[in-house]
Amino acid sequence: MLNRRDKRRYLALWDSDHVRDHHKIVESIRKRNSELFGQIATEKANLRLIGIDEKHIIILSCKLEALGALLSTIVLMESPMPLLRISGTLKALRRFLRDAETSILSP
Amino acid sequence: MIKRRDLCVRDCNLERVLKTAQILGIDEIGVTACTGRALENVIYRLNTHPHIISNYPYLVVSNKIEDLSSSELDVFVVRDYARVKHIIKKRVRTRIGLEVFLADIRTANGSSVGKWFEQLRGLYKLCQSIKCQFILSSGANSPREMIAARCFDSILEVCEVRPERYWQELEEWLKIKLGKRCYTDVE
Repeated sequence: MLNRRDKRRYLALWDSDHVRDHHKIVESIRKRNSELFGQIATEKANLRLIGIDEKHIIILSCKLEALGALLSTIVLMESPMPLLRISGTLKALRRFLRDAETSILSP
Repeated sequence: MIKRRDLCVRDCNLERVLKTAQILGIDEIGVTACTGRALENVIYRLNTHPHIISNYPYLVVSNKIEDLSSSELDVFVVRDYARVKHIIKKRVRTRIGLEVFLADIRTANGSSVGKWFEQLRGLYKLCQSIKCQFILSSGANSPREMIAARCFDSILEVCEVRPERYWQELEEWLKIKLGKRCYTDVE
């Protein structure tokens, strides 16, 4: 039997509040997602913090099947975090962030 | 190709808003700050029709219930659907846009958000039955509150509205509303 890995998506979010503790952001997304879609859905989403760059862009990953719910959660977060990009690979996402005109998002 | 629109952004810095919209995959925006100039991908939100012939696209918007049956009104902003539902059913004219802001629900708790989604589903069905246009906007006060096109799609899916259909209907509705007016060239 084939042991296939779950498909994941990588999301770039703009941390407009410039929160220093990014684990707190992931925790708040998890909390809001559980509130809206339930604890089981949140666990299944397998949300992970990948990193943060100097432009205050947070990179997260989640399972593909939980993407829709997660995007709705992001919109409904008390502290706004605009979604800049979704990508199937981290490499493509980082390339986009490097190339794209995201200077408007810098402080 | 489907154009995605956020018809309510309340920030005065149009250049910054337009750049952010581009990053977020939004093709056209509605803004409250009227410069009196026609700009590409910008629709102005006004309280009344301009006194002189304009060269820019605009929509007349109100959130006052007494304006609901006004022939001038293009968009009515629904802030409390449960309260105005019956009035809308009785007094609304066909082809009007009924708009909801996502910014209104950001700070609400999970249970209120759940109820709000249910109301949104109800509003969409009502719009279909009374031939009005359902409009979902960010209601953003700054670029950081703006919403990406892909997130709009997800919210619409949660409301059981097919995103492609929504964007298509919005495009056709705008074509009719804005097409009625006379414009000169866009910059």
